[in-house]
Amino acid sequence: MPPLLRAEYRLALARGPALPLLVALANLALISWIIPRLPAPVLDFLRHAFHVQTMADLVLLNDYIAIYLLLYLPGAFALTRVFVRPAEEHELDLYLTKPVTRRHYVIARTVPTLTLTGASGVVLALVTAAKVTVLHPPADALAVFTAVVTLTALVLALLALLNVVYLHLGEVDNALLVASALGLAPLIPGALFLYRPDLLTDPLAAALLVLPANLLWAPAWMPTIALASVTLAAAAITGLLHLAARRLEQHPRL
Amino acid sequence: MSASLLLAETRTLLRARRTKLSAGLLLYAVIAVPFLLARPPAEVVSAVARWFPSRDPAFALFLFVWFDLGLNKLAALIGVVLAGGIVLDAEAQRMLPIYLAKPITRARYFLTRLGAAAIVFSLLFGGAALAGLLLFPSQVPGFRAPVFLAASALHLLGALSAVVLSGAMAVWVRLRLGAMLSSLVLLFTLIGTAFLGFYAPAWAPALTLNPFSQGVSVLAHIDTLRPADVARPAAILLSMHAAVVALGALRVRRLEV
Repeated sequence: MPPLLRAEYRLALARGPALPLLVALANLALISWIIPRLPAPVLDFLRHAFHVQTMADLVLLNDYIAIYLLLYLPGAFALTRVFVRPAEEHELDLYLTKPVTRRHYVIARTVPTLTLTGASGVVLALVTAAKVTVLHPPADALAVFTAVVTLTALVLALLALLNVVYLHLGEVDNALLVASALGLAPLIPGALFLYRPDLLTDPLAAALLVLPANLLWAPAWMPTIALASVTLAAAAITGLLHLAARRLEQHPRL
Repeated sequence: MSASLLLAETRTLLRARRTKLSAGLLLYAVIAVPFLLARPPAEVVSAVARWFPSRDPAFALFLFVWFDLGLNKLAALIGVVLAGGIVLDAEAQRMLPIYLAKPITRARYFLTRLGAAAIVFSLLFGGAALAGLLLFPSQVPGFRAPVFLAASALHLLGALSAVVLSGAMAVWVRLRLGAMLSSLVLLFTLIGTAFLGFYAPAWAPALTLNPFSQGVSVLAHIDTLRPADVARPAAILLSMHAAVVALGALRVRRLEV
């Protein structure tokens, strides 16, 4: 492993995915406590609105939103270390005068964040599957695990895309606003499905877009969907990393 | 707080790209919410009528979606980007020692920056409410401007907690990104539980200290709104904001530069 990448891994581990992971675990516990205690009419409304059946489904609906946001946001904040923050603090020139190519710099600063986000996703997938199996039976543990893996793959692909967008932004505050808007965008079809189901009557469109309820609609297919998502995400991440490196090599301000 | 510095900070923030981006997001919400509510399903209307009793269920649904889906999420994002880096941004740009060499105390500098963020936040959300006042009467059945304005004013006071909490978090956590991320996660948690008291009334007392719950409490009195229904939560919110600002000012006095 190149020394810069090794150093960045060490730094990323020291700063720690531990705290965001603990917050996510606390959220999973809170959701399992709150949802079953909601009045029956509220639960019936959610079942009807999102086309789900069991208590496990209702808990998972909220779990998936929490996991999605708590994987995406720390990743989006950490990726500002690639370009935006060094640019704002006038440190980028200093980094790039080191004997390291811009491509290696981008990879060294991006890959540890993506790896740790992916690892956090796998931990959360295991915990969520175990949680619903124990606390809200009956639940299909494999479907839950693969659903969270699918969600993680989506988050990683979005972060890789965000990394390219960040190259056009020079201030952390602007970058975080753009990152948050990009992160919330995949959840908009879910709101549309709740309030304007007439716009999502095509079952295929609903199954593709209504995140995260769609992860509950076809449990038997989730392992296949997860495999396809991970493959697609890996290809997208590779392409977007390559694009980010190219953009930095040709950046007009450097 | 220095008036001239406050004015200068407010002007700078008004010209910042993040303020323009925030205005764009709010404009999007003003346009999107009526579109989203053009044909609500019957089960949504009946559920909302149960939670927010009103003679106009469509207006109650509109207020719920406007505050919950439209404004609350944006309040968290905009509050964090306006105030989540105050003091720390100057420190990161190595300008803080220069500012503090001026005849201004650290607490006053913090209060001025926070005040400017609160003013710009209020202008943005107040502007969204005024834009809504022009657009919504023709698009929302049963729209009542006085109730909308009272609800918007109280909601703005509640949403200002996004600015206040982010500013205080910045000086307590001291790591700019860590502070902003912590603020965002905390704010999303508060927003996620803001309406729980309506869904499960037994839980309402536990949400007294949730500023976003206080900010939407008008929705319990849509048809019977009295000044006290706004004044009581407003007093609670002002007290909470004062306490959080005081904690931030206390901390900033002890910062080492």
